[in-house]
Amino acid sequence: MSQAPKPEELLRVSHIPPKKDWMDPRVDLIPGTWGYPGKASSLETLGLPNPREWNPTDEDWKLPPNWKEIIHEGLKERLEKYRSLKVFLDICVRCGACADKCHFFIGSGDPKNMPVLRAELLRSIYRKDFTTVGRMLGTFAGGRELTEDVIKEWFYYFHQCTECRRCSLYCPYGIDTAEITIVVRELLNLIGVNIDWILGAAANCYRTGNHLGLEPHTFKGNIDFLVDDIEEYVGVRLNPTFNRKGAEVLFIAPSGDVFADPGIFTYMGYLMLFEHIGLDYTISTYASEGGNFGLFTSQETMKRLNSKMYAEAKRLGVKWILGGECGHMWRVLHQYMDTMNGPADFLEVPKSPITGTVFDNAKSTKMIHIVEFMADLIHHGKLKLNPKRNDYRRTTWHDSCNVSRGMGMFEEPRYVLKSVCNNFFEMPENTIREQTFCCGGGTGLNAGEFEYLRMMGGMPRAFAVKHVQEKHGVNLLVNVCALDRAILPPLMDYWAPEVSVSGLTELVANALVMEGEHDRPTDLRGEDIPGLEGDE
Amino acid sequence: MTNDIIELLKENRSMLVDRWTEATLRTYPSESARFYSKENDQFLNPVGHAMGKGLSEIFDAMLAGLDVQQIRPILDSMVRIRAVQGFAPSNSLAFLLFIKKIIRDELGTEIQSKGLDTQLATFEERVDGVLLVAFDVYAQCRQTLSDIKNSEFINRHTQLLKRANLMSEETRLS
Repeated sequence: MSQAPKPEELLRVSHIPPKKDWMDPRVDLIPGTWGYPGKASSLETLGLPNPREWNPTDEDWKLPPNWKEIIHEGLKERLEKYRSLKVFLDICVRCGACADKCHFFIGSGDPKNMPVLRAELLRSIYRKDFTTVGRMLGTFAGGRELTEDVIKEWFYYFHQCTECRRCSLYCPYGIDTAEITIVVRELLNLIGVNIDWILGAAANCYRTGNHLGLEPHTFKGNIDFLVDDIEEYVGVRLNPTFNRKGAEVLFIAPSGDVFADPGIFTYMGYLMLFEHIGLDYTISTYASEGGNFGLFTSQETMKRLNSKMYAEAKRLGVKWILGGECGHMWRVLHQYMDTMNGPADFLEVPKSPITGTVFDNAKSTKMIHIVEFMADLIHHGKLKLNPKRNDYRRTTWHDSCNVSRGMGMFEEPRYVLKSVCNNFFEMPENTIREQTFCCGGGTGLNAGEFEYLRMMGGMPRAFAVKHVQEKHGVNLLVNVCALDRAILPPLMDYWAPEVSVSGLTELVANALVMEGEHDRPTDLRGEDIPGLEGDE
Repeated sequence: MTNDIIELLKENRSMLVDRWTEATLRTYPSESARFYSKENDQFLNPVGHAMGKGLSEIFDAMLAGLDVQQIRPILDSMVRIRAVQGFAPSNSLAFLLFIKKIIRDELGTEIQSKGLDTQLATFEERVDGVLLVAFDVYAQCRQTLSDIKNSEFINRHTQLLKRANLMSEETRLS
C-alpha cells in the first residue's frame, strides 16, 4: 500500500495512473511485495559475495565499487556457459503470447510482471552491452544502460516470479522465462543482492542439512513427536530408524513436513505407509532436507546443497533414494541433479521391493518420488485401503508447478487420490495440469513480508478453487509440495475460506488399514471423522 | 418520489455499467486495463471478470434499493481484490464513486431538462451508502490479512510451543 494521500491531493481527483515508460527502471517498493535482504551471516556461511547490512528502502544498497563490471562479466560468463540463455535473449519477437499468462500479472496488473516485459528487463541490458545493433543504436534498439536503478528493478521484479514456467507453455519459441529469472537472481547474488528468506534457508541447509536449521537431535525429536501422535490416533507404535547403515532405501522429505502444520500430517502418512508395506528404510538427520533453495540462489549453491543427498546415500550404503512430497526438490532432481552431481553409479536403479517394479525413469539419478512409488503400490494392490474414511473430504487437486509442468506428473497423483478418496472434483481445465496456476509463493517468496504479493499471485489459483468449492462443495485442496502446504492455507483463508489444505500421503494414510490399529474415529489431525464415530 | 430517475437509469443501464467498468479498469496501468477488459474467461482474468460482474450487480442493487445484506457479498467480490493490490485505501474504493460522475456526464442534460435533480441526489445517497458498506468490507479484508499473518506465525511455531509446554487451547484456537 502506498502512502495515503493528503486531503488536498484527494481533491485533485484522477484515478488514471500516469503512463510510464517501461524503460524507466525506477520502482516503488510497495510494502508487502518485496523481501527483506539476506543477512550478512547467511552470506558468510555460504561464502557468497558482499555480505553486509543493507536495506532495500535505503538509497545506497552498498554494492561493491565494481558492481557493474561484476554483472557484465557474470552475464558474459553465463552467455558462454548456457547456450539456452543466449538463445532466449536473442529469439524473442515480443509477440506477447506469454504476456497475460503470469499469475502475478493477472493478479497485480503490474505490466512489468508480464513475462515478456520482465525478461526485457534483462534483455535490454544484454542488447545494449552484448549486441552490435544495441551498442550502436542504444535505446532505439531497445537497449538500456545498466544503472543501480536497474539492479533495484531486477531485485523487485525477479522476486515477483516464481519460476513456475506457465508462460513458457505458451511461448511459440519455447523461451523459458524461469531460466531468465534463475540467471538474474544468480547475477544479483554476485553483488550481494538477495532476500533473507532464501539465503537464510540455504545457509541453514548448508550448516545443518535442512532449511529450518534443525540440528540432528531436534530433527529426530520432531519425528518422535509425530510417532507419538500416530500411536494416539491410530494405535500403532512405529520405530523409524535414523542414519542406519545398510538400509535399502534412504528417505528424504522436505523439512517443512517435519515441522510445519499441515505438512506434519503428511509426514505421519509417510511413516505409516512405510510401516504398512514393511519398507526397509532409514531417515538421515544430515541429508534432512529435500528442498533446495540453492535453486533460487546460484547454480553452485544448488549443487552443493544437492550433493549432501548423494554423500549421505553413499555413507549409509543404501541402494536408492526415495523423495517425499516436494515440488522444487523435484525440479532440481529431474533437471539438474544428474548433470551436477550424477550419475550416482554407486547406487542401484530404484526397484520397489514390494512390487518388483523397476523405475527406469530414474536410471541415472537413482531417486524417485513418493507419488510414483505409491501409485505403483496401489496399482499392484499392495495397500489395504478404506477410502470411506476420507468420505468427509471433498477434494480437488492442485498440480504443483514443478512436478506437473516441470516433469509431467499428472496422472499418478490423481490415480492415488481417487484410490483413497471417493469425492474428487477437478478445477477448470485451463487452470490444471500443464496450465496449472502457481500458488503464488514458490521460489522463496513465502516470507511473511510478501503477504500482498502472494495474495495477488495466488489469486488465479484461489478463484479456481473457489469455483469448485461453490459448485461441488470442495473442502480440501490436495497437493504434493511442501511450499504449497505452507502457502495455500492462508491463500484459502483469504479467498476461499473453509477450504483446507493437505498433502496426498496424509489422505493415503488416513485410508490405510494398519495392522494392529485400534478404533480410529479421528483423522491424523486428531479431528473427528464425521459419520465414522460408531462405524468402526 | 416517483421512479423517473430509476426508469431513466434502467433505460441506460448497459451503457452506464460499461462506462463504470471501463473507468474502474482504467485505474490500472493501460496495458493491464486492456487485458482486464478484453479477456472473457473468468479463470484467466479473475480481476476483470469480478469487476465487470460486481459493478453490474451493484448497479442493479442500487436501482432496486439498498439492501445491505444483498450488497455486501457483491462488494466483497470486488473489494477483496482491490484490498491486496497495493492501492491506498482511498484509491481502493474510489471506483464506487465513479458512477456519480458518469451519470452526470452522460445523462446530466436529460436529468436537468426533466427536473430530476432532486431524485438524482436521492439516488446518489445510495451510492454513498454503498461506499460506506464497502468501507466495512475493506476493513474486514485487511483485518483478515492481519489475522492470517498472526495465525501463520503461531502455526509456524506450534511445534516449538508444544515442546516447551507453552501451548494452551486458547493459543491453538486463536
